Amino acid sequence: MYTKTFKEISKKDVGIAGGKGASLGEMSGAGMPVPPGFVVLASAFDRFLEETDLGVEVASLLKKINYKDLNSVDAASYEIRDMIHDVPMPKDLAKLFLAEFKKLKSPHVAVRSSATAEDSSVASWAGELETYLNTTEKNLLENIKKCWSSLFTQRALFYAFEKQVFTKKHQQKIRAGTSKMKESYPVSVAVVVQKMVQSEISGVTFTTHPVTQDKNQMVIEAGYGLGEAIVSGQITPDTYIVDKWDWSLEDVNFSEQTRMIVKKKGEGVEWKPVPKKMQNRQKLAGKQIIELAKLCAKLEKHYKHPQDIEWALEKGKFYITQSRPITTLQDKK
Amino acid sequence: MKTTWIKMWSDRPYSLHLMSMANEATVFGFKKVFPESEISQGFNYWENGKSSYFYPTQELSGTTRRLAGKSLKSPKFLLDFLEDVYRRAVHLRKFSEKFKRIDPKKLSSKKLAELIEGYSKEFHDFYARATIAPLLGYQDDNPIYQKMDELIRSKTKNHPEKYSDYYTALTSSPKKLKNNLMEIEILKLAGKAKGSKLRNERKLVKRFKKEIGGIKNKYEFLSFDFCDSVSWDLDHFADLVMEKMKLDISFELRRLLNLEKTSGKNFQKSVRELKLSKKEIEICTLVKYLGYQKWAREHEFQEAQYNLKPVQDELGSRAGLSTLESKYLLANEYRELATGPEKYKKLTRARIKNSLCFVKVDKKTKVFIGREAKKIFAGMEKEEPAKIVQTTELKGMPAFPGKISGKVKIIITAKDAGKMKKGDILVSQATGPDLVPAMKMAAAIVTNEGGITAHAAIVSRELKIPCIVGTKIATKVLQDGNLVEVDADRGIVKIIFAKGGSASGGKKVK
Repeated sequence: MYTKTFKEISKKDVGIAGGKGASLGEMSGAGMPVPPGFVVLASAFDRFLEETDLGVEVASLLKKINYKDLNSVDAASYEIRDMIHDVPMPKDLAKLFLAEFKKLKSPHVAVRSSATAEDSSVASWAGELETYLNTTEKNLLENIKKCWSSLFTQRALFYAFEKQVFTKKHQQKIRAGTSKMKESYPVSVAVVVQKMVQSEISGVTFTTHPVTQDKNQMVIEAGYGLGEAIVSGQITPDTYIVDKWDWSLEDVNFSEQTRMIVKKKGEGVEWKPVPKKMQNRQKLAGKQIIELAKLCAKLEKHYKHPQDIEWALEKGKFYITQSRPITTLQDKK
Repeated sequence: MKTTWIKMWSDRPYSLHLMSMANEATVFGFKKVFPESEISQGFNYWENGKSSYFYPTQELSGTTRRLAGKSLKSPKFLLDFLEDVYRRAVHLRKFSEKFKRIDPKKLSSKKLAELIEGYSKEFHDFYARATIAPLLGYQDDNPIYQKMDELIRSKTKNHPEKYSDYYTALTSSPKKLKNNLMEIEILKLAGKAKGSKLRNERKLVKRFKKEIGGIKNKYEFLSFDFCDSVSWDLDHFADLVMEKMKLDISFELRRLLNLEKTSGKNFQKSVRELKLSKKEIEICTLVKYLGYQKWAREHEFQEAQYNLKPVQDELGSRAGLSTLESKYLLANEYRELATGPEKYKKLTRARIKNSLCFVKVDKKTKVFIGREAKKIFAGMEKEEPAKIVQTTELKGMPAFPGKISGKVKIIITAKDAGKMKKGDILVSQATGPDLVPAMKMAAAIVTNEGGITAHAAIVSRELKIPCIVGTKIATKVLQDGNLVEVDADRGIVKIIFAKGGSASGGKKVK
């Protein structure tokens, strides 16, 4: 089995669908408004590596890396990624992915990497792997491959190293000269293919205030256009603080926004100016903020852990595009 | 109409000898090479050995406008001019090298005074042309830079995040500067030392005394303050070698040795990608060479000034002056210092404390001291450059608490990451995964944009370092090297000491 639709996936599937994929499946199952999609399971990547004999080569390249030497990381990264890009997708996989794509009945999809570390709650992998928004049928396979290869970007390799995902077992295997990528690199990648929401407004919610760590406070940040601008921090969003007990707005801090990321004609996304009269407006109305807050609270309750949620508003309807545990909270109380 | 004066810079350690020469060269000499110059007067004011430099606002802006206009119309004019200035800087440095071959102690005072006078004449010739530097190079809002800014902005309209990449690629230094050459020598030494497993600076200095000493002699002038002191000692060079030992030396060497090629390639690539016309390429080339020549010229001139120092010191010491005092004479006063030194002890001390040196066309240069200098200075109508942000404090949202101070490093793309040293304050437009290696070295992070759920905020919490997001203007107000205090408990960044900036720490903002 190389793909599963969101409906067939639950949070138990982190190992095959990655944190992101499992979470989207889990949320669909829980009745949350998640745009439909499917996950290219990590097994598809493994199969690709095996069938093309890339696994052996990747393992041997990984062995050569000395993490204290920036250039050895760089060199290995380039070689691995080049190999993945150069080898064509196995025919049956290509056919399968395109068929699943057609079932989504959407000309544009978001293609996102979803890391499947053995213990993914330790590290957030925030933005470490690639995402391709507004992908069309033409570039679907290419972008899936790009997501796969993004597991080996220089920064991803560093991240994996720094987060100490390499256990003693892996290190022994590496030293012993294993020829299996799986044994030497404890992270794999699934790919989420999801109907694209062309959001007018989007943002991020932290169901516990990440700075004050106050569990009674929920932080919602909102901006115009697609959420990438907020996640990457390239625009300064509105910040709303909601009291979770009585659903009152504790603080509203709105911020001028002059540019936004939107769908580009054809494929991909682009920066566009925000119309003058909208630049100085509060993005979400009070009522919308509370509606969103309640939706996010449901998620937190479902997962029994504070969540970092990405959401989008399209034609007056909120969608949840991602949810994951907040990785940086301390148990100080 | 009363003259208003605009400040070129302030609080620099430059001496009376240096600045009186520079000012005379600008007022008397520049007009001869650029007849459109309107500059007819200028002055320097000293307070406790720190100089501020002023020209009449109208005359300066008129001259800058004409100069920039002429250059934009005919870029070759400016490129030739810059080349000529550089040649003269090299000439001045070569002239000064004869001071290294003599022993000032063995020469008569009269001879020493003649040497200083001779140098001063050479300097005048050089600086009459080098005036172009403060007129164009030091002013961000001159029309050439504005044109460049507009050009790149319009070309990257749909990808504003690429603005700085292209700007850097199009304006990066086309040739190696002396500090690059120094780095190459240090890298080579680091390569030699790497095998020897030396654990600390002291051992390194002991083992490679000759090599490090050689590099120091050759390049310490780069830390010369143009007046009285150099700040790089053996330990500093040893530190540099130690630091390089941690890097991939052959990679770094290749990077530096290929600097010309890479710079040329990046330039051509940007030209292709942005589809620049011939005229637009010329503008980029102008800005590129303005930047490069500024440093190439300054290094020559710095070395020359440094070579002159022992001559001034020796003559001064015979007259009972300290090394600092020996630099507070006008060029034509050294002859008198050689024969009748008595009056200069008191006078130079007073000049360091408070003085004003006034240069005007057809007039003899005059130095006022003490109360008189203060009074004249207070009476001048001074104008601060128009667009300076006078703030020494920035506000944003705290994303991870803590309070720490450190040196600012503006890091816009991963390419800037090389600037970061452990404990620096990383200041950026917004951060991305590419900047994570640099963020790991940071003592704190400050961004223009982003909220408390953005990348910078999340990573700072993972790294547990203070972080302030959404200041809107941090990269515009702060400059590399500024010492700041980041108070992420309250979301405030305070400038403690603005190195290289004006007294207020302000920087021009578009």
